Amino acid sequence: MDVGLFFQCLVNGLAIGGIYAVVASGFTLVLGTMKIFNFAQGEFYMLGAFVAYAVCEVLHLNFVIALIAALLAMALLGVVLQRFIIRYTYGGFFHTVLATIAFGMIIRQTTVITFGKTDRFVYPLVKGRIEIGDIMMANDKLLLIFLGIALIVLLHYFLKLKLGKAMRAVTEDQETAGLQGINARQIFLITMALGCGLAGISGAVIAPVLAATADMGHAIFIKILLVIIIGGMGSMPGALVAAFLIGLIESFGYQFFGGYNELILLCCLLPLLYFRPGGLLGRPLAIPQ
Amino acid sequence: MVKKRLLPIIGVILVLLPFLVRNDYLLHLIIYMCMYSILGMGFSMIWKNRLITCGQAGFWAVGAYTSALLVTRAGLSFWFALPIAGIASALFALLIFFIALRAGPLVFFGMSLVSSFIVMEVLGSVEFFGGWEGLLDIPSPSIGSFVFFTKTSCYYLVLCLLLVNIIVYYALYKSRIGRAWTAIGSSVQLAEAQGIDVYRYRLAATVIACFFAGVVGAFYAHYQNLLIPTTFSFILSIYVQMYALIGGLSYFIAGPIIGAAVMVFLPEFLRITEEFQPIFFSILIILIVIFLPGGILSIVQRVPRLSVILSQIGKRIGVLQ
Repeated sequence: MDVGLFFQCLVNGLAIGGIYAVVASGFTLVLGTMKIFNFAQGEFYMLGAFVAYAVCEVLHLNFVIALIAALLAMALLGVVLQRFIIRYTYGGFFHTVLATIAFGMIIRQTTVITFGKTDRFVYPLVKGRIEIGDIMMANDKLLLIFLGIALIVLLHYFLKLKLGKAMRAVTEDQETAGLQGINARQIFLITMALGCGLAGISGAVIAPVLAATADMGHAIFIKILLVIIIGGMGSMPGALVAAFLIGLIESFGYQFFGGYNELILLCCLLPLLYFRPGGLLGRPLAIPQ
Repeated sequence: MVKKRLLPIIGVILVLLPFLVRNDYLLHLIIYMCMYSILGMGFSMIWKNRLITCGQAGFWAVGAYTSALLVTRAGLSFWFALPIAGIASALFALLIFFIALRAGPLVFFGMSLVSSFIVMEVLGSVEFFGGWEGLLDIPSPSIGSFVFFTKTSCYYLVLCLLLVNIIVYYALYKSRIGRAWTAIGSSVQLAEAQGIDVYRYRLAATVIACFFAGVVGAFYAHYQNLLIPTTFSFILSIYVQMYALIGGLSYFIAGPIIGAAVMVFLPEFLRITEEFQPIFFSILIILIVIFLPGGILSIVQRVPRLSVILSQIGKRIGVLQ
């Protein structure tokens, strides 16, 4: 494999891995704090991409405004989901999960009805590529890597702030956090907003590279589940490592195996699960059954 | 669950159904309802063990494609392909879940979802399986010179499958295996402390459920006479979960049947177009989750009180003794 192709695969893998990492971080936050699977995470990601399309191509505004719009809109929608639906599901874990799935379906179907099934393209922010000798790296993918890492770093420092510490406290032990004066309900709303907002902004970020399609929600949700399974449920560092790993395996796998790369992914995954059932870095989370 | 006295009446209605319902389109819907009930009951069996599976569509697909390929490419008779399709699906389930089940219920769920997605991708991408255009010209089943071509004949076929399914599940639920499942469903830790091998019973439940999913998949392939990979999508697995939820999660046999009936016929009666169906189902699910978590059949629990009230009224009026 020549150097140029190797670097191309590397850049692609890191770029897509970064996006998986951001979306998976949002998912893991919600999973860890509220102990629920937000099945609509993929749909928030998709809607973020469509919001970016709407802002950029329909309203003809700046791409940065599109990013902020996606973040805020998805955060708001996440709060709606939490406040009006999840709060009232008393039937148990499965009921909450199915409610999020239903909400995600509503989002997806409404998007399809509004925008139609054609792919929507967003004008790319940067074009061209960097060439160092034989190595060619596409600029937009490099921007993806940059934005992905930027978001992860921002999230990391956010979790060190007072609000972030409150979120981590609720994740650890909800009751004791309450004794410390942390309002768990408020934290849930903020966590949900953050998780969905992250998904939305990822969708907006990736919209110039991959088009805004109706099925991107499903596609990324499968990958997020893989990330969570490999990385360990509820483990943030595990999710990050697993996300980049999956991105790289996907990218290099596509070079060698074409359409079969998903199957290869599954085959890599199964032995890993056999030897480390808790995931790479995670302690398996005790989800209430 | 169903009153024993009612069974013969229900049996007669089921047998005479094609003649009571003279509409071919309605029969088509009823056949779909039966197929979906079988899938839903598979989900319920796995749910009884406190596991959530999101992969019924994938195993349905495995059975369908196995049977279709065996009959079209290898020239096997449908009646042999049917059980082989079930076994293929069961083996596939065994392969994936014997590892995934060790890692816990969340990983089980994730793997069921992932495997179903990958099944659809592989079936679409690989030419041997017909690619995204699917397999065409799958012959209908036949016994001798009689071909199961009409909706009525296919209805009887699927009815037999459904009844066999119900009888087998009922027998299993009443047996030692069923009691072990109930124990696991109540409390996994207590079951383990009692010495029940939770892993083995859960694996058994999964494999049995996927076997029947494969069998009904084979029927589906030969009923529709064509297979398209996009039918077996992730959404279908979600719908299977919805059948169980709408009917009532604690009713393992009747629940999915009621749920499938609701989800097949309600959109028809309300004339809801294809586009809006997922929105309709989603809103229905959210309403049921918030207001009626036990499902439709949980209303039945309130009926005894109703009959007591009615008999009280009857005594007051002097009609009853």
